[in-house]
Amino acid sequence: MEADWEVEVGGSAPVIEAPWPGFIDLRSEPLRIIEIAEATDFPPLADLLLALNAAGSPLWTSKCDVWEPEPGALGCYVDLLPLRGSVFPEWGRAEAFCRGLVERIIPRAPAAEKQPGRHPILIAEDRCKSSASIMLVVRRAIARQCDGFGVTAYFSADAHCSPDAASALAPAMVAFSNALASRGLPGGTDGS
Amino acid sequence: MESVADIRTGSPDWLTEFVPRRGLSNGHLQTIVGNFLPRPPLQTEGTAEQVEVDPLDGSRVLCHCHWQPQQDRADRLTLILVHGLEGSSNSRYILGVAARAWAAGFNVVRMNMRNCCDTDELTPTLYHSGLSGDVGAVIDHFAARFELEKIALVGYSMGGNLVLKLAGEWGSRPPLVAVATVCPVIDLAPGADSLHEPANRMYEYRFLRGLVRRYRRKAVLHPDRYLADIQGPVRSLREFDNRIVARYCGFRDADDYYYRAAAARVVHSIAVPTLVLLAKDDPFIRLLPETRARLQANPHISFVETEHGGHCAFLSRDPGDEIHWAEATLIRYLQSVIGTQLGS
Repeated sequence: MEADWEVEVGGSAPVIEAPWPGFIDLRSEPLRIIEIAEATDFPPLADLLLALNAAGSPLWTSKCDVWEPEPGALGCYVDLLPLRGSVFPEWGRAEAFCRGLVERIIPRAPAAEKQPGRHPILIAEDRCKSSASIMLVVRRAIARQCDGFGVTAYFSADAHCSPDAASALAPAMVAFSNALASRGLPGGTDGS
Repeated sequence: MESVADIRTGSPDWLTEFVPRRGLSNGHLQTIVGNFLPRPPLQTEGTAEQVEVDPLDGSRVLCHCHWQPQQDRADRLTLILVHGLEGSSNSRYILGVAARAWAAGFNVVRMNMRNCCDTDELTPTLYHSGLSGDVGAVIDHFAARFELEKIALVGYSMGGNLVLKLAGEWGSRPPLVAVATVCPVIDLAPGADSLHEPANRMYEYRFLRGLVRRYRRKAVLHPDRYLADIQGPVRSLREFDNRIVARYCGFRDADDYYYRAAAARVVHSIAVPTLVLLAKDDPFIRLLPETRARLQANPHISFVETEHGGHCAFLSRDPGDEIHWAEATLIRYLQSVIGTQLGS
């Protein structure tokens, strides 16, 4: 699994907007997940959206989508915003969030495990570099009357190391939500 | 009753029809949404208590206890709740059952398996599906301490296997009076293998991440006992069981573990009223035909299998908190077994 981040701000770069007509607030009404067709058609996305909007999560989500970029591959994106403050007020905070999250998803091996002849205990997908990837993109965001920055998380996978792209993408989404689950926002900021 | 099959006596009073929530007829969606849906708060603080389960190595488990007033405690039904793989006493379904049981007037013990709920320091061992003796030790401990007259076990998923295994091993042995399980993993081998099916990889990956992380912590705490490194990645739950659980928990290999630890071997010996609640669209519980036959042949077991419900979810069309059909059903079942409506 690979993970990285970048910034796309200005010019014709997309802007995250929330709430938008048709927006569903999963934080207050998780059962309305059944109204999001992309999630009901692809349960790992339902799992991710509910995790990101669960009590205790430092984030909320705006738009999402799932698509097939090419036969045998699958792509998915979710717009992320910090719960407190609704947006990241400075792009540096969004950058810190992305940088910290990437480090959590792909942790550096402890020094002891780098010694010759020693092997860290890994789950298979962790070694399959081409099966799934996560790209975090910092974007301008306008949410709840606040103008600042948000992050779009792109997930992509092919069937290189798995029976199909969906089963390769699902672990990446679990790894992503797990990376956020326990310790609040990476980067030491709450977004406000 | 359209959605409930295999109830021997028709439709008992405690059993209502399960109709899945609109839009949640898919087993995966039931499982996922059920995992995140909040439950009503537990209206009691409770106390935490460590119980020794193995005097040879001093292993202890952490229990969160909610006791009725002392004058009522001994003769009230005491429920011991056992969570599933990588769950804890704080899992939502455990809290949901605990709230209902407390409201029904029961004593409640939310038991953690070894290491769970951040208790890695309480035992040098790993945990696995064969440790039914730990549940028995918790029963003995609290029964002796409070002279409890009636104890029932509730188990979800892996916890369901543990309590069914104990019930089979104990037969008729007071103060155990009843058992209720939701989606118990009674046949371990097909259950583990089903997790490796493509559609189930997200569940397997989540379990594996938790288990591997737990093993790493154990290796740090007990470097004399566990290797910090193993050769090659772990690709599946079966591989983890083969290379870690079997090696460190006294089994020859994963198949030996699955055979010896499965409640399937002993369900014919269960001799107290027992509820086994399953959903046909559970993404990863697989029941072998011979196990199904054993369950259905045992007159003490009420075997309920619904068309829908997913894994430990059973989100119904019923309004409000009654959406959690399995939690309501097992409390009604236990109330029926003890023949009273305590606290209502």
